[in-house]
Formats: sequence, structure tokens, C-alpha cells
Amino acid sequence: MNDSENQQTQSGQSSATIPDAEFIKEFTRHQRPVFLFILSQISNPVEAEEILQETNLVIWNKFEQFEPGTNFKAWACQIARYEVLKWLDRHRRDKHYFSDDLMQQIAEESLEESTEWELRREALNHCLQKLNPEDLELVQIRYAPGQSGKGAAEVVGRPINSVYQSLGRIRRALMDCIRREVAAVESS
Amino acid sequence: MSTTHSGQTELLKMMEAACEDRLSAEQVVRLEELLTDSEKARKLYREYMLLHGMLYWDTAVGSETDAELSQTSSACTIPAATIPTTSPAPAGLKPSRILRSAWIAGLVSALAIIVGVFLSADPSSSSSDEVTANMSPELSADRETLAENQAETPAAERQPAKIQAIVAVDDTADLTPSQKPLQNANSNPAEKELQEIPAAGSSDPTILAYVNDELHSNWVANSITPSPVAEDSEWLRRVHLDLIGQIPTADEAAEFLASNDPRKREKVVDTLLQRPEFITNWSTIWANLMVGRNPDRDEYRTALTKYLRDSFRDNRPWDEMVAAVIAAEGSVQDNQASGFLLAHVNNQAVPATAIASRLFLGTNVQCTQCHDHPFNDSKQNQFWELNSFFKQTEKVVKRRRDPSTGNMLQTVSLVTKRDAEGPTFFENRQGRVQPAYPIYNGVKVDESAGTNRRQELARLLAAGEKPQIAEAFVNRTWKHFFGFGFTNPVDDMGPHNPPSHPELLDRLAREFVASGYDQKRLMRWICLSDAYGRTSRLTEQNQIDNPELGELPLFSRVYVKSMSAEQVYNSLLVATGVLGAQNGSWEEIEHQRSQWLQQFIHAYETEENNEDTHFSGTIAQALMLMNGEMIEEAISAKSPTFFGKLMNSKINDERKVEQLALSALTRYPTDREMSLIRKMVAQNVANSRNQKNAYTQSLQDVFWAYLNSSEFVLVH
Repeated sequence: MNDSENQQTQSGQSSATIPDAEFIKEFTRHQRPVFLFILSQISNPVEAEEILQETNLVIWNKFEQFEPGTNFKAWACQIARYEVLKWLDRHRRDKHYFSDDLMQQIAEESLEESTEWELRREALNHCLQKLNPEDLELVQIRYAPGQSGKGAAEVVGRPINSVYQSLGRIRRALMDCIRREVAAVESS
Repeated sequence: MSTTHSGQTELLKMMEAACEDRLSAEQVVRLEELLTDSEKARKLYREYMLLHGMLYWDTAVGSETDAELSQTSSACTIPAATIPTTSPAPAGLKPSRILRSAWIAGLVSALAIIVGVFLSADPSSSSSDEVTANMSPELSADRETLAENQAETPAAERQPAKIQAIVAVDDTADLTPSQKPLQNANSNPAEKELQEIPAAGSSDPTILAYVNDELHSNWVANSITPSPVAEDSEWLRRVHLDLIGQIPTADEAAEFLASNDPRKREKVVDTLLQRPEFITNWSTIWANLMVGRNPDRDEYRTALTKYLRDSFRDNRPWDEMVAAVIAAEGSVQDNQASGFLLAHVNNQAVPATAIASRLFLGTNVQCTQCHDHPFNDSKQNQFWELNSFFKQTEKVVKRRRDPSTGNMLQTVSLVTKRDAEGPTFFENRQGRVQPAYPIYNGVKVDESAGTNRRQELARLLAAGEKPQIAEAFVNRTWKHFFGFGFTNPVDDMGPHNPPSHPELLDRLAREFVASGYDQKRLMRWICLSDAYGRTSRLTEQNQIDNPELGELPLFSRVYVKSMSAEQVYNSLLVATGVLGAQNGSWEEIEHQRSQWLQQFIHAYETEENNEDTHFSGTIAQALMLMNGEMIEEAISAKSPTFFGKLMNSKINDERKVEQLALSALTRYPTDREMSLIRKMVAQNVANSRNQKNAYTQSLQDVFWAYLNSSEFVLVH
């Protein structure tokens, strides 16, 4: 599988044509969903972003294979799936990940749900604004570029476990809030 | 049912760990197992990861959300002071002492399970979250179930809230969507003008009926059924903690629980309002708010506390108290009320301006001090206009030699320099220097020399039909009892933060003014309201009433609060009977208390004299406190304490256990607790050679476990 993938990549690179504006638009628009799709399987955003970059390379090289008018997201996520598997092959030695079967299942279910993501994103924007300022600031520090929960604890000068606790609480509150917002929209 | 709960709690915990990349290999395997087995678990997992991903993507990678986010956060640059820090363990306490033995650890957690289930409502502060996470998984499981139920509530049931949101859109079109509150159906300002505003000055029953009706109609409008009336034990404990800052004794509890008097709650409220502990409780609350616990300001705090004690003892009207501290002159020896300003006139009276505004006016002007507040009308000007009233105020230090001892004595006085005139100047954001005149609420006072500006301010604060100090006080007091005020936070009132029940707040403020700013009457209205009499537990029918999650409170239940450090301390004294065994003057007791409390205080070196307590009401912290010598002593069987007396009494074992539960938790043991305890005690005695000793020790451990329960440290 790896070999054929690489070959395709090679052949893609040798092509001289350039993606059209429509493709670039689709590509850009789908960065976020593809990232979220990868993250559903990988859980570490930094790793997920690396995989996204690799996926992008493949997408870019294979753009001719995309048939305009078909589902870009499905196509891109399929490529991302392969990239996740490749990535796992390389990294399973250092870290324990889910089995391929479970990942596959989560990936399928995620893709099915992905139509709802935009709605959830709007809900999240709302919910973030309902956080109290301290909590919002903590979230922003934690999710600042290159930051982690541990780094955030150093920034705010609090014990690391208490920051983990707070982040857990805030994420749970946000999740509850998103559920309610989404349910409210869906019922309207 | 419980497996689902703990399953979900476990799942959430592991997902939290996954987000921070700190899952162990075993946990990954376990997580995988859970996810493989359950579709529901996978759904939760996907939801969680989606949230994690969106937070990362939108914050780190950047998108249009970013702009909105930073706007929200820059609304008020959050001072470092607002980030709570956790207390380091008191020195000299080895972790091994935190739990006395493996056995007690077992009992603590076993009881935590039982006791934890009792508290099904979620604790209303972030710190209590940690309680649940640390000690009682069942508690957080309950939380999760609630959250889950909430998510699964048929959408139709929540419809009213949505309709209200739409109504609110029309009312407050100038606000961004996120700020639109769920307003009362009848809060349309235009409508309000048409309604006749009843003249204030009504009788207590009329006011109570109004409070009840107003809340009730709001429940109906939101299609919720309030939580049931609280059990006597829950209510009695809460009203004691809220009014006098400590739990009832076992005897008080037993008497109340046994009474059939239909007016017994009313009688308790009236009794508590006359208790000496009421004075201590409220003077402590206000001394903490006005001066804080920073030892550097101890002299001012002590003086002000004495002023406050006198005031609460005489039920001095609130407007008088505000005027007294605002217009105070002289040293703390001349005038104890000067403690407030003496503590805060440093730094061009910036702290004094900010704190007075927050406490007395319920408006947060700290943010407006350096720049215009983007979310509200109060402009930088207003801060400096208020500040301008303090322009003449100076702190003068005089030193003299004490003729008897020869020591140098220092007196610090508040002095009003009458020759100071004109505006104060401040630099605006463009770097231009601007004048600010002494203006409050649109009224400008004579800025020439000879005017005593603070006296003028004191007068203006209480002027008009419904001064802001009344509304701010009602709001804060309401929050004290219910856990949430009409606005959240209570000290950031204003058009940008509309109250949940505008008419109720308005009416209560007017009645409060009409009562002559009678604090006790206001407290009585609140304590005897139908809503305050209800349980803190959420039910299926009022799940949306969860201000914790950012919704406006509906007061269909009383929200759970964490005890303050003082409440824990005082309640421990009551439960263990140390207070009765203690001798000494108020000053001595107060000194011990403040020494003990000092370990939780963290003073921030900010220009606004902020501080925070480390005490977060968590079990872990409570455990550390309780392992102190005071408690060792307090539950020793030899001392003349509650426990010592109980051990020497002739009542049977079960009665003894009952007394322990009553004393610690204001209730009788549940059947499950009783059978568990009976079994453990029997086992313990059987396994020991010295049976009498083992028996005493077992009951001591039972008491210990009750005192260590989350039920003890929460006000519910």
C-alpha cells in the first residue's frame, strides 16, 4: 500500500498542470474539516497537524484525480485516512494508539457526522463567550500556538494538576453548552 | 445505572487526559475497550475530540473566530489577581498525615459515596468541581448524568427559553447575540412604564408575596417546575451558614427536626438575626470585602471590623455605613470607619476609587481606568470623576514618643486638605492629559477649595429615589444567599450586563430604601422567600436552571456554594464543640482565627490592592486543615469537647452515631450509613485486643469521616 501510494505521489509531482481556482477554494475550505477528521483519530492536535501537512502534499500532488463536482471532503478525508495509517506505522513503536479497526470505525462515524461541524462551531463561538473571563483566558492560553496544558500551567503560575482539572471542567462545560445550543437549533 | 455513570466519568477523565497527551498505555487500552464496546461512548469521544480540535484550530491556527475571541478577552485585561492560585500545603504537614490510616481512607471514601449521592446538585464553583473529581466519583457522575439528561431533554421542553431569547433580541438590539440575556417575559421596558409602580414601603408579607409571585411567574414562563421544598436539615444548615457563618449544633438540629411548629423556619430566621454570631459573620464578610486580609493592612482591618461590628449590632442603615466610610476623617483611633480609606488611598486613591465603586455601586471600573471599556458606557472619564472626589484626601503620618515607655508611636490619619481645588488630571489612551471634575451620577460638586468633596460624595451616593448603592447592595445580598445574584458577577452591573429579574431587583431596592436601608429586613425577605426554602438539588423539571453554565439564574432552587474559609473554621468549632470549651475574649478568638486563616491568603501586589484567598473549599484542602492540631485535639476522647462528652455519655451506640452525624452534617445517618458503620465498628472491635480503645477509635474515625465529607464543606 505504501509503495503504490508513493508511486502515485511521484507521478503526481511530475505533472506540470496547476490546480484551478475552484480546486484551491475547495482545498482551503476543507483544511479545517480534514484537520478535525484526523484529530478524531489521533487526539493530539500537533500530531494531527503534521498529518494534515502530509495529507495536503498528497492532495496537492493528486489534484488531477479529483473530479470537480464530486464530494471534495470525502475525497480529502480518504487521503487523510491513508496518511493517518502511514503515520501510525511509523509511530506505533513510540506510543500506544488505538487499533486500526477502532480507528476505522471512528473515522467513518466522524465523516458521517461532519455535516454538523459547522453548526457546532457556531455553537462553540457562542459558548466561549459565555465563559467567565478567567476560564476564557485559560482556554486561550492553553490553545495558543504551540502551547499545552503543561505550558499553560507555567504561564498562569498554577499547579499543573489544578490546571488540568480546570481545563477538564471548562471543556465539559463547553461540551454541555454546545449540546444545548445544537439541540435548540435543531428543534427550531 | 451506576455503571453507566462511573463509565462515563471514567471516559471523560481519560479523554481529558488524552487531550493533554498524558494517557498511559494501560489507559489507552482501557479507553479502546470502552470505545469498542459502546456506540454511545464513541459518540461522546468524537464530540470531545471535535471540541478539542476546534479549540485548537480556531485559537492556534486562526480563523475569523480569532477576532471575536480576542475581542472578548481584551474587553477587560484580566489582572493576574483574578487567577486563583492553589495553596501550598501548610508547612510541616507530611502527606502521610493527610489520611490517618488505610482503614480511615476506606471509610472516608465509603462514606463519600453515600454522602456524595446525597448531593446530587452540582456544586456551584469551579473549585467544588475539584472536590468531585478528587474525592467522590459518584458526585461527578451525577453531574455527568445531569449534563446528559440535559442534552437529551426533548427539544420541545426547552422551547420557552428559546422564545425568550428571541424576545430578548428585540429588547436589546444593540447588544451582540452572546450578551443577550434570557429576559423575563414581562421585562419589556416600555411595558414597565405602563404598569403602575407600587409605592415602596410595603409590609413584609406583601413584599414576600411579591418576591414569590415574581419568581413563580418566571418559572411558568420558562416552563420549569422548581425544585421541591428543602428537607428541614438542608434548610437549617444552609440558613445557619448564610446568616451566622456556622452550622447548627447537634442540639439545635435535633430540636428543629423534631419540631412540628408550622412557623418554625420563620422563628429560626428571626432568632439567627439576633445572634451574636450574626454580627461576627457579617462584619467579617464586609471587612474582607472592604479591606481584605493582607497583614500589611491589619491595623485598618481591625479598626474597620470594630466599626462594622458596632454597625451590625445596631443594624445601622446601609446608607449610613457607606457614608461613614466614605466621609471618614482622622486616624483609626479617632474614627474606626476610616480604616477603609486608609487602606486604599495609596496610589492616588486609585484602589479606593475602584473598590468603592465595586462594593458600593456594583460597577466595575477597574477596566475603565486605563482605557475605555469597550462593552459599557462608563468611560475612562467616569472613573477619574469618581476619583476626583478623593483628590483632597491625604494620609498623614505622625510620630510621637510614648511618655510612659519611651517607644515611638505612629498614627496615620485621613486628612482632608481643604485648599486642594480644581480637577484631577489623567492621561487618556491617546496620551493626552485630561481633566476630571468631581461628578457623580451627573451631579457636579463645587470644585473650589472649601468644599469637602468626600462629604458631598457621601451625600450624593444616597440621593434620589433609588440610589445605586441600594440596588448594588440588594444584588450582592441576594447572591450571598442564593449563590448567584441578579447579575453575574454582582459587581459588574450596568447596561452591558442586564439583570435576570429587573423588576424584582428594582422593587427590592425600592423597598430596601423605604425600609430605611434595613439590612436585617432585606435578609428576612430573602430567607423567608419560597425559593430560598427549596432544595439545592436539580430535578428533571428545572434542569435549565443552571447558571453555572452561563445561563441567567431562575432561582428555582438554591445554588450550591463552597464554604468560605471562615465558615469551615467556625463550623468545625461548632461540630467538634471546641468553641464551648474555648475561653478568651473576642479579640483572642479573633486572633486565633486570623492566624489560622492567614495561610490561605494571598495578597497580590497590584496597584488596585487586590487579593484572593487560596481557600477553594476542596476536600483535599479541608483534609489538610483538619489534620491540624486543633482538630486532633477537638476529636480527642479526653478533651471536654463534643466527642469527649459523647463518649462519656450513657446513650447507646446508634444514638452516638446519630449524634455524630447531627453534629457534623445536621442530619441523622441514613440507613445505609448506619449499617455500614455498624459493620465497620464491629469488625474493628473484633480485630482488636483492646476493645474499648478500638471502639472509641472507630467512632472517632466515623466522626472524622463525616467531617471530611464533601457534604460538610458545601453549603447546599
